[in-house]
Amino acid sequence: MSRRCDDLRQKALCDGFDSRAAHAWRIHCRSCPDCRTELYLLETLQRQAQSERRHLPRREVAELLEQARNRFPRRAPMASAWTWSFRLACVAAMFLVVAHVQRQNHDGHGTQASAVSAEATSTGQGEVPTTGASMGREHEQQLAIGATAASPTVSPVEDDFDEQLRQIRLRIDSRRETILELLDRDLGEGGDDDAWNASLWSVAELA
Amino acid sequence: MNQENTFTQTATGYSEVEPLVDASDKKLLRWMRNGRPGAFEELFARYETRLIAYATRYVGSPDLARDVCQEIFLKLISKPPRILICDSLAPWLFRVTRNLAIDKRRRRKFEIHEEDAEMPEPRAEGNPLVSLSRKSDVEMVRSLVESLPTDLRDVVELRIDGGVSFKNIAVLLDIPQGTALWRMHRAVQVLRQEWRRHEP
Repeated sequence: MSRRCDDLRQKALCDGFDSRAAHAWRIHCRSCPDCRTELYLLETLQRQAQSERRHLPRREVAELLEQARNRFPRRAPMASAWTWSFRLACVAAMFLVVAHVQRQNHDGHGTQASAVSAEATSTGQGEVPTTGASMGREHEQQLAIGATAASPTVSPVEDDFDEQLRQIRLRIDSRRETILELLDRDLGEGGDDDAWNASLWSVAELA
Repeated sequence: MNQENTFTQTATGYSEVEPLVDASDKKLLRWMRNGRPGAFEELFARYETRLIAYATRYVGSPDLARDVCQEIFLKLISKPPRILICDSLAPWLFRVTRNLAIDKRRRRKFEIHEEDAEMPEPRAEGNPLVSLSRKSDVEMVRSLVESLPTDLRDVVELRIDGGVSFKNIAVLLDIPQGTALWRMHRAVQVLRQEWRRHEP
């Protein structure tokens, strides 16, 4: 058996015994006894399979077709249109509800943010901290940005994301101030190199 | 095919120009669900005889194979597959056929059928001597196929009896297509060697 035999057999098996590839294999079989035997065996099997390919009795076929017709009745042309219209209406309604809820959330956030900003301004937390422990330059810049963003002149059309970011910054500032006050109260005021202050430095500053 | 093959109904999802004969199994299945006349008939015509031939290998009786085939199509009507791999219904149909046929054969072992003993031999046609030698060859080859290892025999029966493409055989047996081809080659080589040993 050569590689050519394998190739010819493979093509004939893939394409079927009535294909051009099978014809080429038959021609090759004249000079190759192994392939001749293989082809004979396969054709014998194929012939037997063909003889066993029978049909169902007509009565049973009719029953099957009847069942198929009952199971999948022919839809009226408008039925599908109605189905799609209904689906479209559902999607549109859902979209409207989501949009409404989002708008309500946005308004709520805006009001809450304004209230928090106003509170921060009145207590002085919104300003850039100049006292207490000294922070790194970058951190101070961030605080300044946060304080500026939290000013009462917040535009109502700003994104929710900015609002949330601002609030988080405000909360962090207030907590930091509280902690510093507590530290000052309990341990007294320390210098810039104090261990307590060093523990509050950010990782970025340390790096 | 009949005139219904070119039936048109755009609102239910099938186009007016596409005939049933050229449509893929996937489309036919969708059209069948949508109630397009002729879609089920086309699927039935594509697979009916091949399924019967394939089932005969397992149950050993053409009548039982017909019963299996009928059950398969009833199953297709009642619970059509939702997802088709390769756009072909063949892997699903032949897998269900094999399972059902094996189940039937298993149950049949415990039943005694009178018709088994009285089953008439098919009438020989043409030259009796040629017919006799051919029949013995057929029986011999078939017994050689049955003596093959299961993985090789599965591929041979699906390809020869079921007429399933190697691509679909690979999907059906959950193996790569190259493996399916290799198994077929190996089966043919083993058959040749065994035939040489048993050749009259």
